[in-house]
Amino acid sequence: MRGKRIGVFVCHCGLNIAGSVDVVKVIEQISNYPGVTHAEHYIYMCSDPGQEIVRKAIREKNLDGVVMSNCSPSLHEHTFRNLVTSEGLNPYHCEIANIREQCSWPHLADKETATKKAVAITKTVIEKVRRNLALTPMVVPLTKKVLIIGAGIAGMQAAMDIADGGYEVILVEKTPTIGGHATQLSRTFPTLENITDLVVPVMEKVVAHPNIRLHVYSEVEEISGYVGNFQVSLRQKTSFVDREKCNYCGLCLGSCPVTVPAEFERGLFSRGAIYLPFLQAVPPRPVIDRQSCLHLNGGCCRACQDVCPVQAIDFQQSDTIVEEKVGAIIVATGYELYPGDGTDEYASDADVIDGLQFERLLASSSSTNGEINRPSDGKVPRQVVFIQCVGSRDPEHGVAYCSRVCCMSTAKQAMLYKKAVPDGQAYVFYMDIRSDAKGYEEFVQRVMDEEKVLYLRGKVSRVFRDGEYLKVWGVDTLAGKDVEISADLVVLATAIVPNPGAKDLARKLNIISDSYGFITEAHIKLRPMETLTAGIYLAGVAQWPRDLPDTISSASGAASKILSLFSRKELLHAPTVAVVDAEVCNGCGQCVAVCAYKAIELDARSKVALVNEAVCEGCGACAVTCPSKAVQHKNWTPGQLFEIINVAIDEYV
Amino acid sequence: MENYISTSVTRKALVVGGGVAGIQAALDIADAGYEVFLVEKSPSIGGHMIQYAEVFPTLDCPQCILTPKMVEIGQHPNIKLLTYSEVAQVSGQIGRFTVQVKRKASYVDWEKCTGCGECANVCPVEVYSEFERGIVRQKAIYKPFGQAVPAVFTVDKRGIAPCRAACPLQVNAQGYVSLISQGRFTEALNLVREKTPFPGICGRICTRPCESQCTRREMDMPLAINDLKRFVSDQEKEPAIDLTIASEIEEKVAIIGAGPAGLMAAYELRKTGYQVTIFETLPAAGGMMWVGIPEYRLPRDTLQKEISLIQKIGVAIKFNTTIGEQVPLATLKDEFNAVFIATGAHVSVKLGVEGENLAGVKYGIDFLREVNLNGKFEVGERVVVVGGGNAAIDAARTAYRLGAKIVSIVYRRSREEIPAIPGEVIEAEREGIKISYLTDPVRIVGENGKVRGIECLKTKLGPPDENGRRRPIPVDGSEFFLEADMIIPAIGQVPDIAFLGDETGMVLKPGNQLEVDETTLQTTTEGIFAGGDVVTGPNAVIDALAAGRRAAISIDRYLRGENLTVSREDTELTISALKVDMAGIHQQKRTDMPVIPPTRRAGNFREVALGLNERDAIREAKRCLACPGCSECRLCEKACEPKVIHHEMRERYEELEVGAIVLATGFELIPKEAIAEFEPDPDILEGIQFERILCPGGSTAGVVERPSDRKVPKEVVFISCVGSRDPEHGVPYCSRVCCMYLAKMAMLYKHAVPDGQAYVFYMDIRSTGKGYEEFVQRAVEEAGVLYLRGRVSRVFRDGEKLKVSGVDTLSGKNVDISGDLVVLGLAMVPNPAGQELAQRLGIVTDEYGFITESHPKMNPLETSVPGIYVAGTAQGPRDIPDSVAQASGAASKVLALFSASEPVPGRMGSR
Repeated sequence: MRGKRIGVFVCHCGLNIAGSVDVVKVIEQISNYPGVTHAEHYIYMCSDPGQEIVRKAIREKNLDGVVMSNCSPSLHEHTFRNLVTSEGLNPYHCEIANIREQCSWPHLADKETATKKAVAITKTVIEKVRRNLALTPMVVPLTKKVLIIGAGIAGMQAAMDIADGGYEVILVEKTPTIGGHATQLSRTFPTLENITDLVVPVMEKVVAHPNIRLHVYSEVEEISGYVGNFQVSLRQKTSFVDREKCNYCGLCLGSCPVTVPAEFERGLFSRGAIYLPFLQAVPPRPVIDRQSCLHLNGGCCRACQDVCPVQAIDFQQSDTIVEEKVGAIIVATGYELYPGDGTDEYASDADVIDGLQFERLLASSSSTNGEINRPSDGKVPRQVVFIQCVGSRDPEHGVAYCSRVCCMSTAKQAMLYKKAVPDGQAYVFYMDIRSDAKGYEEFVQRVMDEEKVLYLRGKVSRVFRDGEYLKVWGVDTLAGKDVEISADLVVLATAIVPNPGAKDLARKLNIISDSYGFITEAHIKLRPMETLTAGIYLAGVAQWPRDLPDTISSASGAASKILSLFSRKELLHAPTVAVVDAEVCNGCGQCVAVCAYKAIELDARSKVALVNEAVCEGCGACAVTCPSKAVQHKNWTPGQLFEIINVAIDEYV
Repeated sequence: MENYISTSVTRKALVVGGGVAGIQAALDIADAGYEVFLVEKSPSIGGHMIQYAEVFPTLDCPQCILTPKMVEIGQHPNIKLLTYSEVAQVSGQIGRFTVQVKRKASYVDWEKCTGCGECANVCPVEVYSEFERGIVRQKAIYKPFGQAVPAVFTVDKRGIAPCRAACPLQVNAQGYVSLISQGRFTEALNLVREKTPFPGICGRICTRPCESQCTRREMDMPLAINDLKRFVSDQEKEPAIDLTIASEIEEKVAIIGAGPAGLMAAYELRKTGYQVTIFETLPAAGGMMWVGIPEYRLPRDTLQKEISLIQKIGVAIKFNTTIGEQVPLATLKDEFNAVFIATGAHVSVKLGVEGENLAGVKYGIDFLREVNLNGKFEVGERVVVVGGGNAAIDAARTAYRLGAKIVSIVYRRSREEIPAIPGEVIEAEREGIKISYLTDPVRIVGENGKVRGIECLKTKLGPPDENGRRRPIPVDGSEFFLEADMIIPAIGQVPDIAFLGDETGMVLKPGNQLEVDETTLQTTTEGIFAGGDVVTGPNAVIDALAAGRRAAISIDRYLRGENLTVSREDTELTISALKVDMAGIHQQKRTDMPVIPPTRRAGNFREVALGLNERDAIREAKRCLACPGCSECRLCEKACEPKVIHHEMRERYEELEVGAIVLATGFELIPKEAIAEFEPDPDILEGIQFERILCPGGSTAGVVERPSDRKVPKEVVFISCVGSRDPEHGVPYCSRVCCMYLAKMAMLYKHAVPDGQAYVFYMDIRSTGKGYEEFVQRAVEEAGVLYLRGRVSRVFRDGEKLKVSGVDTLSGKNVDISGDLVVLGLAMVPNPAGQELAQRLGIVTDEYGFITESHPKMNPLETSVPGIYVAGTAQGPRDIPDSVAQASGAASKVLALFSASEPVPGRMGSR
């Protein structure tokens, strides 16, 4: 093999590298290394003048291999590969030697060690480049259709933006209606608008949009494929109501003899076994709850079927599977409240409710002439205690993080309560007041100053029933005193947790979620709407607790990623993938078992492993597993790896 | 009512602001295949994010994570990057906007700049660095930071230095001062010589109009600009001046008078190539510089050396030749193509009191002339000089040197009004000369035809006269007598107009001054020009020199047959005050020149002022605030290999057609001066300043030093909510990010100074983002940062320490901390330029200037104007991920608009 003419370029990265690596010494030691035709250092190789140095050297020294000794390839591999391409080289003849994250930073105080290691790292990469082959990215087709999972505010917003952009959207929602938690809320903070007035028009736009196809009461069953080419199976749960026949007359709703707690009302009110989640549900088609329906549980009740004028009730109906092909996916699965509201401190009591329940009370007050009635006896509560951070910021009993919106929703609830019950008294126990967006701070001030809501900085140690009252024991850390309040109603600002199904979905999608189940973004600062799996994006609270405008921004943001993606004619896939030598492969199938991307299968006839290059992410798991070394990773061959190891050992022996 | 029209969509977008939000929006739109113009007002994109040390909660380095995106912007085929540019005007409507963009002059051809930095290496001027927030200063030609995109240099030019504008000759004072500060004395002298061949003369006797306008005077004392000029001229033995003639020209010019005006005109005209002859009555050249100014102020060899250049360049001087006497003016008119009259004002003004004819009365200018020409004069024992101008002081100090026992000066106004150079007055007093202010002579008293003394009256000052000086009013009955055997009246001079002879064409003004055109200096007779004292009456040498040059320009144009008045580059520059950011600048005394002790001045005419030494000169020059930025010393031009620096570059306008606009104009910090609790102190920092100190790529390479004395601070106090949540002193809203960045900085500080202690005063800890709560917990538990819930009432300097008085509301106790450094979490306010732009675009903003979204909940990305979207902190304070998400969101609105195949309804009219 003719030796390559390799150029080595060492970056100071200001003092990030040069502070602990003697770059001049690195150059000295690399210059006469076999194959190195050119070696140079510069303060910022990524800067324009730095790049010009590389260009000039490629041209003048006729280089056909480039080693950039600088920061992590995740930062500038793209930059420098583009650069060598513009000078006529194959991008895979350029490699990064990471002498910053893996060398200068961990050896900050030890210049000698850092310098020696920088030399060693650079030499190993020279060996890799020497044996690298020219590779060409694969062209993969792109299905310009998106799947959005979750039809809350985030999902609906993303759907509309993409649909407005001219692409088809498949919007999947597991409950019978779109709208999400926003439909349960009473009013917004800080402008106190009726949320129904804001959300319902959006729901109607979504359902009417020609580019959006809605699958409510459906869940993702299975997903395979890769960016541009996902195969999705959706399970359309049976509602026992024929969607073709139902004319939304609603006669069935009143006929059902069953009463069960209504999910939408957070159990404060009840529904029948056949029900519509709420009046403005979209689509406005009832569903039958399999668990509580008398007929479906062996009874002979057919009340709903009897009243239905169009014979839409079909007890024989079963789940259907819908197959879809999409090019990208947005996860907008939203949140639930922390299920631990019955923890030791807070009594399980009808009058100890969570924030969403109180929202329902506030919302229903519009139908009770503004009266708020407590669940136990329907009395108007005169003393209401709001407790914040229930489960939040409490790693021992709940979650360690802050749920971000409770301070504001509590302040709003306190204000709405005071507007409904002007002579009532509201108390708020808090740890820190977090009112950090437009108009929020001023809103909290109004709650304190105008509504005379009493804010107490401290935790509540116990809530217990004492006759007609709930006793709240707490501490006021500012006064340094214990506080006892006799309350009629206690409202808990319960922590926001990811939708319980999110973890399972993440597994199906092959994306990462954190220990709480929130989906992990590709980069916490700069790529908040992307996952590390190409083609799968994030919107709203599925990533992290946030309020309505931030949710909408992130949903539109995710939409823009899709619009950018879909603006391309086709996709390119990195060619650094696994390749099988069919002569050597004995069909043992171990590679198929270890592939996390489901990119390898055994050819049924020839019993040889086949790699779907478009799916392969080049992780190398198959290559190390293969007992006969029939699977190899392009440009990471055993030959290269052993040479790299040899060089590294030589440097230290 | 709104009218709707259809319009087709221009599928190009404008993004305003090159911070992280603008970068993200631009990339998203460009990645989708549409053309994007990214306009940024500073020379590089990167925004505030690129200034930070690290970002919370992952402690990533922003330079590392943002640079790839910046580089991508620079290289993206769909993005046209317009940095150092501002949106001037927008018209049209959604889908079809026309945008005027102002491309500010960078004075560097960016297409060709290689970013090598040689220009900055030689630049002698250091100015406030916006990027470093004053922690370190930067050169006036600069690349904002290492990874700047585009990686090119920009000249920071904010106007003309007031010192330069104040100089009648427009000598580039700031330029030579900055060169001196770098020890580049030859270059400094060459720069002076671009405007005058007499640096040694000017450096001694100039009346220093430059210093009276020096911006530094607002802080302590003006720079000793003139002393610095003298210093550089002192550095050379023989004047190394380029005396090449442009090209010989046949036309001949006659100049009457070899004073400063005549010499200057002769020099300029001869350099151009004219044949110049000077006619001079006296036997030597120099005019008043020779016969008026005493040698102890202006040594004869200095004068001689510089004046001789005029002869060296080929100017003929006919001495002892009086026009109007030996040669009639008419002959000059016939024999020469143009005439310049610069005869000065050498006739003394009489006091107009009794006894002026007595022996022992000698007029000041006559006295000085005789002393200067003959080197001697018999003075009396008791000498009284009348007057307060430079001639009076010169006469008094000369009399003292000639042996007078008692010398006094009477002046009819107070010390405030005295027109002589202040330094001269002080030196006169140090020599024992008594100055009687508010004293007016009534008559000179004689005995036997000889002076015996002078009778004076005390005066008081009345209202200002037509010249703006307060008029002296005699106080009745205050007469007193001063004994004297010599009286030197020195109250003024007027021109001698005998040279006119029977020439009648020229018009005279009162005081025998010649009437000339103010711009061209042409007299009422064509081809005859006049300047200097003969036009103005007695005036400073610098003004006469300026007149000489002005006449030379006119004569040149006259002889070439050109218009005399259009676009004269010698017309006066406007003096405008320049705002200087004083961050990092400390008070420093003006350096005085050493002088011969007064006791050793009698009996000799040795130069009193001894000149600065090199060390003092450099130190003094470094006091220059560089108020207009670049000094136009042009060293950079010479150092630039590819020759891409153009100091004459002008701003220009570009017109863009776009369909949608994203505003991402970002934030600023509320000025800390606005917050009364904190006395200005170099060790009280705003957050971004401390970021620069913590930044591994910053000036201290991540070593934490406090600005005042570069010591490592052992106790650092961080204060949240400075200006935020404080409607009385700042803004009522919460700035959202300060809790986290203070926690981050406290943690970084602890990493840098493990034995240091960090305190954070807070109101509420607001850590609502992903990983934020855990991060603050780590700051408390792992880094041992002490969080104190309470407000700080006062921070003040106490010797080496800063005392921080606050309250801990949890313990209910007052807390006093002696800190080495205080870091303020200042409120975020909208970027003033962005705020102004929004107003110009007719976009609704809130009372603080943040852009109001079209619905706070449901449409957070749209503004009140269709087709204009908002991203990032221009809308309200938020952190980086929220800004990025919003930017992508705004991009999606643009993309949806552009993808519409049908025309969109647009709102009629423009804004």
